Amino acid sequence: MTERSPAAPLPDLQDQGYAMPEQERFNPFRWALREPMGALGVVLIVLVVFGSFGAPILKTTNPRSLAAYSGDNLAGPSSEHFFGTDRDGKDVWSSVLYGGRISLKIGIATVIVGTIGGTMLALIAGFLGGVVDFVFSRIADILIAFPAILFALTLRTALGEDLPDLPGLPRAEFVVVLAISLIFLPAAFRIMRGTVLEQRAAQYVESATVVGASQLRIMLRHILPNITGLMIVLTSISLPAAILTESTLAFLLGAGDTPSWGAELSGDSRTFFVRAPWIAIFPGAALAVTVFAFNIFGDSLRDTLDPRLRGRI
Amino acid sequence: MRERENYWLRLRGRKVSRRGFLAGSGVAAAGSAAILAGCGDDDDDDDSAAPAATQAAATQAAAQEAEATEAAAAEAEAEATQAAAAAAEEPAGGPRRGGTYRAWKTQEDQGLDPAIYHSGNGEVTQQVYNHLLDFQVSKGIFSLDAAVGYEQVDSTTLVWNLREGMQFHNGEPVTSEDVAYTIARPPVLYAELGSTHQPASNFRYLDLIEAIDDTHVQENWEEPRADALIPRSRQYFAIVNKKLVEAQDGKAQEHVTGMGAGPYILSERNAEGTHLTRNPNYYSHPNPDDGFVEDGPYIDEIDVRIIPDPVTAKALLQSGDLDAYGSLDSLEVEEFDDIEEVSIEGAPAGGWSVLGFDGGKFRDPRAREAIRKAFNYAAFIASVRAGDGRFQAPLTVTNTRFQTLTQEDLATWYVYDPKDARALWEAAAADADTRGSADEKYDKIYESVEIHTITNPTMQTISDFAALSLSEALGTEFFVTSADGTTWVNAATDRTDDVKSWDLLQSGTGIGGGTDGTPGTNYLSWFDPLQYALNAFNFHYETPHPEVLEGATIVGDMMAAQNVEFDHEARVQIITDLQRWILDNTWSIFIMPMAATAFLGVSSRLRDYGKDDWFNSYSWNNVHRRESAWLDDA
Repeated sequence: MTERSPAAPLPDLQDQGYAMPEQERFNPFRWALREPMGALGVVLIVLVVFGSFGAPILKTTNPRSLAAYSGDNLAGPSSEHFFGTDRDGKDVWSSVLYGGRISLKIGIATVIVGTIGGTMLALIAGFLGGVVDFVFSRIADILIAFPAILFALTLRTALGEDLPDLPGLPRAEFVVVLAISLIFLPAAFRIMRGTVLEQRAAQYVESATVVGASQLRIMLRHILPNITGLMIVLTSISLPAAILTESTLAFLLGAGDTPSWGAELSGDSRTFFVRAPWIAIFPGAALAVTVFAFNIFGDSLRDTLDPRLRGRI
Repeated sequence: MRERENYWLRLRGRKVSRRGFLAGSGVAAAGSAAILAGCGDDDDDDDSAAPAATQAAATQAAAQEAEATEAAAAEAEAEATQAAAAAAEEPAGGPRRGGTYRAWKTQEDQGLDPAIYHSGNGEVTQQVYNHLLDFQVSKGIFSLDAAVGYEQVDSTTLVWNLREGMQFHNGEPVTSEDVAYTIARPPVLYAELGSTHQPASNFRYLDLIEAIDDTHVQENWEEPRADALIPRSRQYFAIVNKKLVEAQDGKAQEHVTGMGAGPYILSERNAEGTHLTRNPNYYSHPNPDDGFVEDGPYIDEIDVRIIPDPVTAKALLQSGDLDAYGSLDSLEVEEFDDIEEVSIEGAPAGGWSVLGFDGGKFRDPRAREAIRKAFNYAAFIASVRAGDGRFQAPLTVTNTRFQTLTQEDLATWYVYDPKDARALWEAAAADADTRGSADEKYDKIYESVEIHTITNPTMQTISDFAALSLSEALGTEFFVTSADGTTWVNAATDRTDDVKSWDLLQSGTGIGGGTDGTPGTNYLSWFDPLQYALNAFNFHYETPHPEVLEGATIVGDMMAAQNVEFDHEARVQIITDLQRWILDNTWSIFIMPMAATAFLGVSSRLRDYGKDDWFNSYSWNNVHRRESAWLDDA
């Protein structure tokens, strides 16, 4: 047994063998070898994000400019138009890349609002319990009872005229975000509420209560960090579903004057599918690849952060 | 322990993991996405899809020329043309009786009263009811149906001589009282309901309609009318059974057998469509005029299915399960090259695609002219019209009896000049700035402009192009909003304020359409301060803006003058002057280029269907009124 004075500095734990072994530190290459599908997902996501947000430097013409109307209608894929052109002579390659922006933007915004919002509400309901929990839970039950797509369609139609433009999020996109978020929010609430209830009974919460920590502090400083892993996993798994839902709405209602993968699968791509299948195939493939990438990445992330969750979400 | 969680070990363990399932799902999703494109919602590529306000541009016409000698000469000439056309069109063996004609429509009817509605009920108003006469625009001739003659006694009196022996589907005779009631009821309905799908110009001049004996009906007008016969040939004046209609408070909304006396009986009407069967007691047409057959129509039954998705309808046409599809995009035509079951016909297009101004806001003529000069016509024709486009005039260019403006003439107005456009727009905006906040609602267009259209791919494409072209040229944001047809019509016709909820109203696809021959309602009605310029565009007499009132007075006077002018040459001159004034002032609407050629897809078994008039208005639901049509495999 080693003697040391109380004022002596703490020894370096690593020197004493208490620190995490070197091989257990996060190593992206090792992770990629262990989770190749997850790594593939990351690569695809990077490509999709780069393609979408780097579109202006990737031999594209902004579909929202007059120059996009090339006059070369329904031309097949070529070195000039990698993915061919659509009914109006617009370059499909450009539409796919620019369309990714709206899909990703709305998908991410939706997940942020839906998952984080659902987590916060779950934190409040699960921790406070009682009437608050009862009311929040019943509201979630009611929202979940609506058929998701019909609910989103109704919200989008009903709210379309009443919402303001937000910085970086025009009204047309804001309403879609809100409509889809209201689908995801109750589901996230339910999952996270269960975890909060579990954490509330943990000893560290009791300890914090005993030492006089406020409820707000316990929720934000003690419970929240312990459910963050699950929240991240939930976010990664919700994102592809949100992108698909946005595309579904765009397919059914049209996306207005903003290019979107879902909208590109509707309208002219259906009318001219026999003659010019590339109008539908490339946006469809982009959508499928993106959803696939987020799915496998989310799955790997879940395994990495908390293997016990496999099969639960 | 943790190492066993990695991908490879799990794969070696051959567990059916969620990830494996996801990988497979990803591949399946790629395929599904492509398949998705083959199903779902959509479009109407046809001008007939345009809602009531557009469709209701019920053509009023060209020359009445009701004088007997001229009509007889025209008919004789037309008969010769018809005979030649029929000989070329029909195979040896001639017309056959029987068969079922299969058509489609996108939605259910709004109601069946021919004097009130014209949306989704064409097969009933055209085939279940009969009419005094029929007018074929392409030939410029009238064919007699319920009437055996008519006489323009003087400039305000018209007398109809009715065919004897007609009876409604319930066996009751068609009387002159029924016919007089039919002609007299539109203004009554209009006054009662506030508006109907029928343009008021069709009946505004009517005074007293009376049955003067068993076979004669006399129309007395408040003022002369050069176009009275053509509206009488349209569905609005389908002959109704007075007794049965009066039993429904004067409205024929719920059809009762016996309300009509047409060649077909309505045997089925539900959410899937309508079915019509031959009227066994249909009256004969001795010595029938073109389009009619002495012993009634050749085709036994008409079946109209409700198919909301045009892509599905097109597939049915391609597979030989549909007899008429309607207007096709020029780029779709190639798909039918090797399909024997389908016949594609082309004709000069007469459709419309416009941006209607809200006259409450677009009061400054410089702002309207700026719109006209900021639109890139060449790019629009090259892309949206796929290289096959031409200019449209205030009176459709296919109304050749009254149209004197050539494409060269029109090209002098439709010039893309973004620099001049920007200067005009900025000058108008500068003046707006000086007016201050009191006029804010009238001047908001200089901050941003909303283009409102129908949720329809073709119309949205047109609107998107316009928004881009105008935004880039004028430096002001133009953005597009869309709504379903009914909402769009409500927004278009809402007059609760002296400005509209939209700034520019996009209407029409400009790929089909045509004319019913009358200039008064088709399409000059867009500019008439008593018609659509009043109901939709705020270019009317009650405007708060003096400059708009001045223009409305000019247009209204010229419209009235051409309506009462029986002399054809004089009338043509008035109409030409009116068009020039409209174009000079970019009045009421801005007209975008239309498709140069309209294409029609029908089954190749359909014969003598009067293709030239299918391209014109009132081929509702692809059930064109022509009893001499027949099916060669009947």
